Amino acid sequence: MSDEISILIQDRKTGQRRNLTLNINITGNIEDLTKDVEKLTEIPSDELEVVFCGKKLSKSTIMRDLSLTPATQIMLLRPKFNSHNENGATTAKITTDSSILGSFYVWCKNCDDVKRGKLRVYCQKCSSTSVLVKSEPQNWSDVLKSKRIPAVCEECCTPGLFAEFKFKCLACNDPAAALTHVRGNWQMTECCVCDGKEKVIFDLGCNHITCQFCFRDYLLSQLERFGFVNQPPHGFTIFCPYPGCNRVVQDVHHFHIMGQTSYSEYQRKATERLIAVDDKGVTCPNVSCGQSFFWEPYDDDGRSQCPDCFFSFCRKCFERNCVCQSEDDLTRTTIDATTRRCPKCHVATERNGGCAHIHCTSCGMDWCFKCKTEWKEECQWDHWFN
Amino acid sequence: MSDAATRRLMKELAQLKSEAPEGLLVDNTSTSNDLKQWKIGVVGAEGTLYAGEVFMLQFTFGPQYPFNSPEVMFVGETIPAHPHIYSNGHICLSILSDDWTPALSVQSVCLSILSMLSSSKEKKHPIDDAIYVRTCSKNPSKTRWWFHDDSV
Repeated sequence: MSDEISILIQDRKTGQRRNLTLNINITGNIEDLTKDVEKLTEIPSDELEVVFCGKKLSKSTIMRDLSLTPATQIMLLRPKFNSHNENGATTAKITTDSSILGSFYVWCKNCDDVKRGKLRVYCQKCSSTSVLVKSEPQNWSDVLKSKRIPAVCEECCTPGLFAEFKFKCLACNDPAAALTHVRGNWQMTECCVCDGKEKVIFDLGCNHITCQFCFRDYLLSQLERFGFVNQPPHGFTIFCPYPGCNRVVQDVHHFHIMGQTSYSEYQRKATERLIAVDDKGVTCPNVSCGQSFFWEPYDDDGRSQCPDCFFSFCRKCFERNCVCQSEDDLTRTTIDATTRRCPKCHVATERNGGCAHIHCTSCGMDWCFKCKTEWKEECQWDHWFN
Repeated sequence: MSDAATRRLMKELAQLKSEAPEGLLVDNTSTSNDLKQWKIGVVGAEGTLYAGEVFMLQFTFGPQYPFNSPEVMFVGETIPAHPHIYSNGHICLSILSDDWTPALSVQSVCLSILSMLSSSKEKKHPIDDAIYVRTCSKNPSKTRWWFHDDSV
């Protein structure tokens, strides 16, 4: 099996740079590659260091494990002196190239599915792939947040650089969003919903395992009755399905597994909820629109224009031609008289029966209708009914 | 019933029969052929207000089970008098609606109800029993509960 790959040779001894296209055997290893290069360039193979994804690869790494595509470029470096410590870059002997291999999962928009992903490293400044990281990423934050991992770029040589990490779909090579809660089921643990032992599972960091199919159905059932709760900074999200576990999904990309239509519905409903609890939020009263937006507080005359359909209306009575002056604001009076506001999100809440323990459907707060504060032990015993 | 729901219910039934927890009368469990409806006997725990009393719980499962909660109520001659149980058998328990999660099961629901019975201090129906029973829907899942205290 042979594949064409593109390589860049940086010869520090002679100061030369060469681009080559090479036919390689993808079942061969890095040592085979350096020997092929030696034949073409007469640079001794034992002087060549192979840099890929920010790391120097061990000679025994199999080419196929690198998930190369025709667009990938590999850098071969011939140091000025035969030293392995140049630039302070990582020289750790790599035994498993696990971070390069697809040991994690991504949401691929192109494949419209959860796929295995690969991590690629670029120079933050010139986007070149000819970079060496000075330390190995240790956790998700190291690769998801910028300026965490210092790097050296062989292309632009700018001092004080950081590595930039990107995720790609292993199947189609498109850029994709990392799914930090999805992993392989290494220990073959049972799903907490169906007891099945699926290969790809959700784990919100609490070790409660849900298979990807049950997690999708769980999301869809929660969407139906909008069981998503606003948990800043994560936005409207969902708890781990394990009873009593308060871990939440930390990144909305995971909700894509519901499918595009349901994901759009989630976005729309979450926006509506957010607007409903924000003083500056308003929903366009035009029947054919319904767009939610924030109004600008400066120069306010009590009217707003929808940025989507340009319908202009009074924010108090929601009419194009304001009727606030001509009529008593009966609606407002009635709402004020019959409801109390949630102490956390201020949504108007009507109690038409039952006890005084209110579970806010908007923000999830448990509060006492009598005290208008958080539900306490004292309310538990004395305020069920007033 | 969906395939997934049937599979899960069959598994739950087998598990319940092989290792019945204390307080559940599994031998009294009867299920409809399609597994859509179950009846399970529960016995009040020793040292509680309901010691030795036997009640019948009825579970009705929808095709979306376990992603949607089952409809659970007391049926039969005796409905326990309890501050969170209405005289028509409806139960005010958060895990049966808002706090339901698909990782809960028939067994965990039964045990929650038993523990709710055990911690009761007074044999009495909720204050709004009369009006609720007159006006509520037949299906307790349709009720928008204001949860009474979860600890009882």
